[in-house]
Amino acid sequence: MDWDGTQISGVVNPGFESMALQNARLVPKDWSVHFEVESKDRAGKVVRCLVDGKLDRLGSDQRTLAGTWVCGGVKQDFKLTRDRDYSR
Amino acid sequence: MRKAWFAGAVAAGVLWLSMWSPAFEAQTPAAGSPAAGRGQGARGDGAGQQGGRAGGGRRGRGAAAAGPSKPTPRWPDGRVNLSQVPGVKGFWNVMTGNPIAPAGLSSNLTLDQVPFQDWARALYEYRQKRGGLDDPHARCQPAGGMRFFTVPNGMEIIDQPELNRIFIIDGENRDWRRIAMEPGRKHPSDDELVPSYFGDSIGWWEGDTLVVDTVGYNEKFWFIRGGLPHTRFMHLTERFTRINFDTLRYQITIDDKGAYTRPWSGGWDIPWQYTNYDGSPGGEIHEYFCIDNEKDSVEFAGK
Repeated sequence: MDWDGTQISGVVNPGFESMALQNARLVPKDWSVHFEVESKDRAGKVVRCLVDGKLDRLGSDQRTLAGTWVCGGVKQDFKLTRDRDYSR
Repeated sequence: MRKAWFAGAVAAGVLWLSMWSPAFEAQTPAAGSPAAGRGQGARGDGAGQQGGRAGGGRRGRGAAAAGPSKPTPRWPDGRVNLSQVPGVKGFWNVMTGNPIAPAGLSSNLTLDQVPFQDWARALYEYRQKRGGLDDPHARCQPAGGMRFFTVPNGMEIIDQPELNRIFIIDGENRDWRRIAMEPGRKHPSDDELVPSYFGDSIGWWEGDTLVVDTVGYNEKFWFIRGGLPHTRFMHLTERFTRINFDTLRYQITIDDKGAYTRPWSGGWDIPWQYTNYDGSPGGEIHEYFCIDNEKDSVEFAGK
Protein backbone atom coordinates (compact mmCIF):
# COMPACT_ATOMS: atom_id res chain seq x y z
CA MET A 1 0.00 0.00 0.00
CA ASP A 2 1.26 3.43 -0.82
CA TRP A 3 0.38 7.05 -0.35
CA ASP A 4 1.69 9.47 -2.93
CA GLY A 5 0.32 12.59 -1.32
CA THR A 6 -2.99 12.46 -3.10
CA GLN A 7 -3.93 8.86 -3.86
CA ILE A 8 -3.93 5.63 -1.91
CA SER A 9 -2.93 2.62 -3.94
CA GLY A 10 -2.03 -0.94 -3.16
CA VAL A 11 -2.92 -4.59 -3.52
CA VAL A 12 -4.54 -7.29 -1.43
CA ASN A 13 -2.77 -10.63 -1.47
CA PRO A 14 0.35 -9.50 -3.30
CA GLY A 15 1.25 -12.18 -5.82
CA PHE A 16 -0.39 -13.91 -8.73
CA GLU A 17 -3.86 -13.58 -7.19
CA SER A 18 -3.43 -10.02 -6.11
CA MET A 19 -6.34 -7.64 -6.09
CA ALA A 20 -5.79 -3.95 -6.63
CA LEU A 21 -7.31 -1.57 -4.13
CA GLN A 22 -10.05 0.52 -5.64
CA ASN A 23 -11.78 3.62 -4.37
CA ALA A 24 -9.58 3.67 -1.29
CA ARG A 25 -10.09 6.68 0.89
CA LEU A 26 -9.69 8.01 4.40
CA VAL A 27 -12.01 10.62 5.84
CA PRO A 28 -10.03 12.51 8.48
CA LYS A 29 -13.14 14.08 9.97
CA ASP A 30 -14.16 10.81 11.56
CA TRP A 31 -11.13 8.65 10.57
CA SER A 32 -13.30 6.32 8.55
CA VAL A 33 -11.67 4.11 5.95
CA HIS A 34 -13.14 2.62 2.81
CA PHE A 35 -11.72 0.50 0.05
CA GLU A 36 -12.92 -2.00 -2.49
CA VAL A 37 -11.42 -4.92 -4.35
CA GLU A 38 -12.61 -7.26 -7.04
CA SER A 39 -12.35 -10.86 -5.97
CA LYS A 40 -13.57 -14.05 -7.61
CA ASP A 41 -15.93 -16.65 -6.27
CA ARG A 42 -15.48 -20.43 -6.66
CA ALA A 43 -16.97 -20.29 -10.13
CA GLY A 44 -14.57 -17.61 -11.18
CA LYS A 45 -17.16 -14.92 -11.22
CA VAL A 46 -15.96 -11.46 -10.30
CA VAL A 47 -17.29 -10.33 -6.94
CA ARG A 48 -16.92 -6.80 -5.70
CA CYS A 49 -15.95 -6.59 -2.04
CA LEU A 50 -16.45 -3.50 0.07
CA VAL A 51 -14.55 -2.78 3.24
CA ASP A 52 -15.56 -0.03 5.63
CA GLY A 53 -13.96 0.64 8.94
CA LYS A 54 -12.81 3.25 11.34
CA LEU A 55 -9.41 3.94 12.79
CA ASP A 56 -9.26 4.16 16.55
CA ARG A 57 -6.60 4.80 19.16
CA LEU A 58 -4.88 7.07 16.69
CA GLY A 59 -2.06 7.95 19.01
CA SER A 60 -1.19 4.37 19.82
CA ASP A 61 1.38 2.29 18.00
CA GLN A 62 -1.22 -0.45 18.35
CA ARG A 63 -3.99 1.53 16.77
CA THR A 64 -6.93 -0.35 15.35
CA LEU A 65 -9.08 -0.52 12.27
CA ALA A 66 -12.48 -2.06 12.92
CA GLY A 67 -15.52 -2.38 10.70
CA THR A 68 -17.20 -4.67 8.24
CA TRP A 69 -16.44 -6.32 4.94
CA VAL A 70 -19.08 -7.33 2.45
CA CYS A 71 -18.20 -9.74 -0.29
CA GLY A 72 -20.60 -11.63 -2.53
CA GLY A 73 -23.47 -11.39 -0.12
CA VAL A 74 -21.38 -12.33 2.87
CA LYS A 75 -20.93 -9.72 5.56
CA GLN A 76 -18.56 -9.98 8.49
CA ASP A 77 -17.11 -7.75 11.14
CA PHE A 78 -13.39 -7.37 11.51
CA LYS A 79 -10.94 -5.68 13.80
CA LEU A 80 -7.28 -5.22 12.99
CA THR A 81 -4.61 -4.14 15.43
CA ARG A 82 -1.40 -2.73 14.09
CA ASP A 83 1.79 -4.46 15.07
CA ARG A 84 4.35 -2.38 16.90
CA ASP A 85 7.02 -3.02 14.37
CA TYR A 86 7.17 -1.23 11.09
CA SER A 87 9.84 -0.37 8.62
CA ARG A 88 9.21 3.28 7.96
CA MET B 1 -15.15 -16.84 -3.19
CA ARG B 2 -11.60 -17.58 -2.38
CA LYS B 3 -10.82 -18.44 1.19
CA ALA B 4 -7.84 -16.22 0.95
CA TRP B 5 -10.01 -13.21 0.56
CA PHE B 6 -10.44 -12.33 4.16
CA ALA B 7 -6.83 -12.98 4.94
CA GLY B 8 -6.02 -10.70 2.09
CA ALA B 9 -8.27 -8.06 3.46
CA VAL B 10 -6.63 -8.42 6.81
CA ALA B 11 -3.25 -8.00 5.19
CA ALA B 12 -4.47 -4.95 3.38
CA GLY B 13 -5.78 -3.55 6.60
CA VAL B 14 -2.51 -4.13 8.33
CA LEU B 15 -0.79 -2.37 5.50
CA TRP B 16 -3.29 0.39 5.81
CA LEU B 17 -2.57 0.86 9.41
CA SER B 18 1.08 0.76 8.62
CA MET B 19 0.71 3.38 5.95
CA TRP B 20 -0.64 5.81 8.44
CA SER B 21 1.84 4.85 11.05
CA PRO B 22 3.97 7.95 10.74
CA ALA B 23 1.14 10.08 11.64
CA PHE B 24 -0.11 7.94 14.43
CA GLU B 25 3.08 6.96 16.16
CA ALA B 26 2.14 6.24 19.70
CA GLN B 27 4.21 6.78 22.72
CA THR B 28 4.01 7.27 26.39
CA PRO B 29 3.21 10.53 28.10
CA ALA B 30 5.28 13.53 27.19
CA ALA B 31 7.43 15.29 29.68
CA GLY B 32 5.29 17.84 31.33
CA SER B 33 2.11 15.98 30.57
CA PRO B 34 -0.19 14.92 33.37
CA ALA B 35 0.75 11.30 32.90
CA ALA B 36 4.46 11.84 32.73
CA GLY B 37 6.40 12.65 35.83
CA ARG B 38 9.51 10.59 35.49
CA GLY B 39 11.58 13.45 36.73
CA GLN B 40 14.47 13.33 34.37
CA GLY B 41 16.02 16.66 34.98
CA ALA B 42 16.71 18.21 31.65
CA ARG B 43 14.43 15.69 30.02
CA GLY B 44 12.59 16.50 26.85
CA ASP B 45 11.95 19.69 25.01
CA GLY B 46 8.70 20.69 26.53
CA ALA B 47 7.00 18.09 24.39
CA GLY B 48 3.34 18.61 24.06
CA GLN B 49 1.21 21.49 23.05
CA GLN B 50 2.54 24.29 20.98
CA GLY B 51 3.32 27.16 23.21
CA GLY B 52 2.85 30.85 22.80
CA ARG B 53 5.57 33.21 21.73
CA ALA B 54 8.85 31.72 22.59
CA GLY B 55 11.82 30.57 20.72
CA GLY B 56 12.03 33.86 18.99
CA GLY B 57 15.12 34.83 20.83
CA ARG B 58 14.52 33.40 24.23
CA ARG B 59 17.80 32.70 25.90
CA GLY B 60 18.82 29.19 26.66
CA ARG B 61 19.45 28.29 30.21
CA GLY B 62 22.39 30.10 31.63
CA ALA B 63 23.43 33.65 31.26
CA ALA B 64 24.29 35.27 28.00
CA ALA B 65 26.68 38.16 27.78
CA ALA B 66 25.32 41.45 28.95
CA GLY B 67 25.00 44.31 26.50
CA PRO B 68 25.12 44.28 22.72
CA SER B 69 26.35 41.16 21.05
CA LYS B 70 29.81 40.98 19.60
CA PRO B 71 30.09 40.71 15.81
CA THR B 72 29.75 37.44 14.01
CA PRO B 73 33.04 35.56 14.40
CA ARG B 74 34.97 34.35 11.38
CA TRP B 75 37.69 31.88 10.60
CA PRO B 76 41.03 33.19 9.31
CA ASP B 77 39.89 32.53 5.77
CA GLY B 78 36.86 34.74 6.26
CA ARG B 79 34.19 32.08 6.55
CA VAL B 80 31.67 32.49 9.29
CA ASN B 81 32.44 30.51 12.42
CA LEU B 82 29.25 28.84 13.64
CA SER B 83 30.88 27.45 16.75
CA GLN B 84 33.14 28.47 19.63
CA VAL B 85 36.04 30.87 19.28
CA PRO B 86 39.24 30.63 21.29
CA GLY B 87 38.72 31.96 24.76
CA VAL B 88 34.92 32.03 24.64
CA LYS B 89 33.22 28.77 25.43
CA GLY B 90 29.56 28.03 25.02
CA PHE B 91 27.02 26.40 22.77
CA TRP B 92 23.69 27.01 21.06
CA ASN B 93 20.66 26.34 23.18
CA VAL B 94 16.94 27.00 22.95
CA MET B 95 14.13 24.75 24.05
CA THR B 96 11.22 26.58 22.54
CA GLY B 97 11.94 26.78 18.85
CA ASN B 98 8.76 26.75 16.85
CA PRO B 99 8.10 27.52 13.17
CA ILE B 100 4.52 28.66 13.77
CA ALA B 101 3.51 32.19 14.79
CA PRO B 102 3.26 33.81 17.22
CA ALA B 103 6.46 31.95 18.12
CA GLY B 104 9.72 32.35 16.29
CA LEU B 105 10.48 34.67 13.43
CA SER B 106 8.09 37.44 12.52
CA SER B 107 7.65 35.86 9.10
CA ASN B 108 6.32 32.60 10.56
CA LEU B 109 2.92 31.41 9.41
CA THR B 110 0.05 31.22 11.82
CA LEU B 111 -1.43 27.81 12.43
CA ASP B 112 -4.34 28.63 10.12
CA GLN B 113 -1.89 29.45 7.35
CA VAL B 114 0.03 26.18 7.54
CA PRO B 115 -0.94 24.30 4.35
CA PHE B 116 -1.92 21.04 5.96
CA GLN B 117 -3.54 18.28 4.00
CA ASP B 118 -6.88 17.44 5.60
CA TRP B 119 -5.65 14.31 7.33
CA ALA B 120 -2.54 16.06 8.61
CA ARG B 121 -4.49 18.92 10.13
CA ALA B 122 -6.90 16.49 11.74
CA LEU B 123 -4.02 14.50 13.15
CA TYR B 124 -2.24 17.61 14.37
CA GLU B 125 -5.40 18.70 16.17
CA TYR B 126 -5.74 15.25 17.66
CA ARG B 127 -2.17 15.35 18.93
CA GLN B 128 -2.70 18.81 20.36
CA LYS B 129 -5.84 17.63 22.08
CA ARG B 130 -3.89 14.78 23.62
CA GLY B 131 -1.32 17.18 24.94
CA GLY B 132 1.69 15.28 23.70
CA LEU B 133 0.76 11.97 25.33
CA ASP B 134 1.64 10.16 22.12
CA ASP B 135 4.90 11.95 21.45
CA PRO B 136 7.65 9.45 20.53
CA HIS B 137 10.23 11.79 22.03
CA ALA B 138 8.63 11.22 25.39
CA ARG B 139 9.77 7.62 24.99
CA CYS B 140 13.28 8.63 24.12
CA GLN B 141 13.00 8.45 20.37
CA PRO B 142 15.48 10.77 18.66
CA ALA B 143 14.50 14.33 17.88
CA GLY B 144 14.63 14.26 14.09
CA GLY B 145 14.10 17.12 11.69
CA MET B 146 14.01 20.63 13.08
CA ARG B 147 13.25 19.30 16.52
CA PHE B 148 16.93 18.54 16.78
CA PHE B 149 17.35 22.23 17.52
CA THR B 150 14.77 22.52 20.27
CA VAL B 151 15.95 19.96 22.78
CA PRO B 152 17.11 21.49 26.03
CA ASN B 153 20.64 20.24 26.23
CA GLY B 154 22.20 22.39 23.57
CA MET B 155 24.16 21.79 20.41
CA GLU B 156 27.43 22.65 18.73
CA ILE B 157 28.36 22.95 15.09
CA ILE B 158 31.70 21.40 14.25
CA ASP B 159 33.03 22.61 10.91
CA GLN B 160 35.70 20.46 9.24
CA PRO B 161 36.26 22.09 5.85
CA GLU B 162 39.39 20.09 5.20
CA LEU B 163 37.20 16.98 5.30
CA ASN B 164 34.24 18.55 3.53
CA ARG B 165 31.89 17.90 6.37
CA ILE B 166 30.11 19.56 9.24
CA PHE B 167 28.86 17.80 12.32
CA ILE B 168 26.10 19.11 14.50
CA ILE B 169 26.30 17.49 17.88
CA ASP B 170 23.38 17.59 20.23
CA GLY B 171 23.31 17.33 24.00
CA GLU B 172 20.17 15.26 23.79
CA ASN B 173 21.35 11.68 23.97
CA ARG B 174 24.54 12.90 22.34
CA ASP B 175 22.87 12.62 18.97
CA TRP B 176 24.68 13.99 15.97
CA ARG B 177 24.05 14.93 12.38
CA ARG B 178 26.57 14.80 9.58
CA ILE B 179 26.34 17.38 6.83
CA ALA B 180 28.19 16.33 3.67
CA MET B 181 29.90 19.37 2.17
CA GLU B 182 31.63 17.76 -0.78
CA PRO B 183 31.08 19.91 -3.86
CA GLY B 184 28.62 18.25 -6.17
CA ARG B 185 27.51 15.69 -3.60
CA LYS B 186 24.03 14.35 -4.37
CA HIS B 187 21.57 12.51 -2.21
CA PRO B 188 21.40 8.76 -2.71
CA SER B 189 18.56 7.63 -4.93
CA ASP B 190 15.23 6.79 -3.37
CA ASP B 191 16.07 3.12 -3.72
CA GLU B 192 19.36 3.57 -1.90
CA LEU B 193 18.14 5.81 0.89
CA VAL B 194 17.51 4.11 4.20
CA PRO B 195 14.89 6.17 6.04
CA SER B 196 16.32 7.49 9.28
CA TYR B 197 15.69 9.98 12.06
CA PHE B 198 18.16 12.51 10.71
CA GLY B 199 18.09 11.69 7.01
CA ASP B 200 20.79 12.33 4.43
CA SER B 201 22.12 15.89 4.54
CA ILE B 202 24.16 17.80 2.05
CA GLY B 203 25.25 21.37 2.63
CA TRP B 204 26.79 24.38 0.99
CA TRP B 205 27.46 28.00 1.78
CA GLU B 206 25.45 30.84 0.33
CA GLY B 207 27.42 33.84 1.44
CA ASP B 208 27.47 33.71 5.22
CA THR B 209 24.60 31.26 5.42
CA LEU B 210 25.02 27.52 5.70
CA VAL B 211 22.30 25.80 3.70
CA VAL B 212 21.50 22.17 4.49
CA ASP B 213 19.27 20.02 2.29
CA THR B 214 17.97 16.80 3.83
CA VAL B 215 15.84 13.92 2.60
CA GLY B 216 15.37 10.33 3.69
CA TYR B 217 13.49 10.69 6.92
CA ASN B 218 11.64 7.88 8.60
CA GLU B 219 8.23 8.50 10.10
CA LYS B 220 8.89 7.40 13.64
CA PHE B 221 9.20 10.82 15.21
CA TRP B 222 7.46 14.15 15.53
CA PHE B 223 9.66 16.61 13.73
CA ILE B 224 8.67 19.43 16.07
CA ARG B 225 7.11 19.36 19.49
CA GLY B 226 3.37 19.67 19.25
CA GLY B 227 3.18 16.99 16.61
CA LEU B 228 3.24 18.51 13.14
CA PRO B 229 2.77 15.42 10.95
CA HIS B 230 5.24 14.42 8.29
CA THR B 231 5.70 11.56 5.87
CA ARG B 232 8.58 9.84 4.15
CA PHE B 233 8.40 12.48 1.44
CA MET B 234 9.65 15.17 3.80
CA HIS B 235 12.40 17.29 2.30
CA LEU B 236 13.85 19.95 4.58
CA THR B 237 15.95 22.91 3.57
CA GLU B 238 17.59 24.53 6.58
CA ARG B 239 19.45 27.82 6.63
CA PHE B 240 21.83 28.71 9.45
CA THR B 241 22.91 32.32 9.71
CA ARG B 242 24.95 33.63 12.62
CA ILE B 243 23.60 37.14 12.60
CA ASN B 244 25.87 38.17 15.47
CA PHE B 245 28.02 36.41 18.02
CA ASP B 246 25.11 35.51 20.28
CA THR B 247 22.42 34.60 17.76
CA LEU B 248 22.04 31.81 15.23
CA ARG B 249 19.08 32.33 12.95
CA TYR B 250 17.49 29.05 11.97
CA GLN B 251 15.17 29.05 8.97
CA ILE B 252 13.55 26.00 7.52
CA THR B 253 11.44 25.13 4.50
CA ILE B 254 9.26 22.05 4.81
CA ASP B 255 8.38 20.33 1.56
CA ASP B 256 6.30 17.21 2.17
CA LYS B 257 3.69 16.36 -0.42
CA GLY B 258 2.36 13.61 1.80
CA ALA B 259 1.28 15.94 4.58
CA TYR B 260 1.15 19.49 3.17
CA THR B 261 -0.32 20.97 0.03
CA ARG B 262 2.73 23.13 -0.71
CA PRO B 263 6.14 23.91 0.78
CA TRP B 264 6.13 26.32 3.70
CA SER B 265 8.73 28.02 5.83
CA GLY B 266 9.38 29.15 9.37
CA GLY B 267 12.16 29.59 11.83
CA TRP B 268 13.48 30.94 15.08
CA ASP B 269 16.58 32.36 16.65
CA ILE B 270 18.88 30.22 18.77
CA PRO B 271 20.88 32.02 21.45
CA TRP B 272 24.45 31.34 22.45
CA GLN B 273 24.77 30.02 25.98
CA TYR B 274 27.93 30.94 27.85
CA THR B 275 27.38 28.81 30.92
CA ASN B 276 26.86 25.17 31.66
CA TYR B 277 23.32 23.87 31.60
CA ASP B 278 22.76 24.69 35.26
CA GLY B 279 24.12 28.20 34.94
CA SER B 280 27.48 27.39 36.45
CA PRO B 281 30.61 28.63 34.68
CA GLY B 282 31.85 26.43 31.90
CA GLY B 283 29.86 26.72 28.71
CA GLU B 284 29.93 23.05 27.92
CA ILE B 285 27.19 20.65 26.91
CA HIS B 286 26.58 18.24 29.72
CA GLU B 287 25.96 14.54 29.41
CA TYR B 288 22.34 13.57 29.16
CA PHE B 289 20.67 10.35 28.10
CA CYS B 290 17.04 9.42 27.92
CA ILE B 291 16.71 5.71 28.61
CA ASP B 292 13.22 4.46 28.29
CA ASN B 293 12.22 2.10 31.08
CA GLU B 294 15.44 0.09 31.13
CA LYS B 295 13.41 -3.09 31.22
CA ASP B 296 15.86 -5.06 29.16
CA SER B 297 18.93 -4.64 31.28
CA VAL B 298 18.17 -7.85 33.20
CA GLU B 299 18.43 -9.69 29.91
CA PHE B 300 21.99 -8.57 29.38
CA ALA B 301 23.53 -10.24 32.39
CA GLY B 302 23.95 -13.88 33.29
CA LYS B 303 22.74 -15.35 30.04
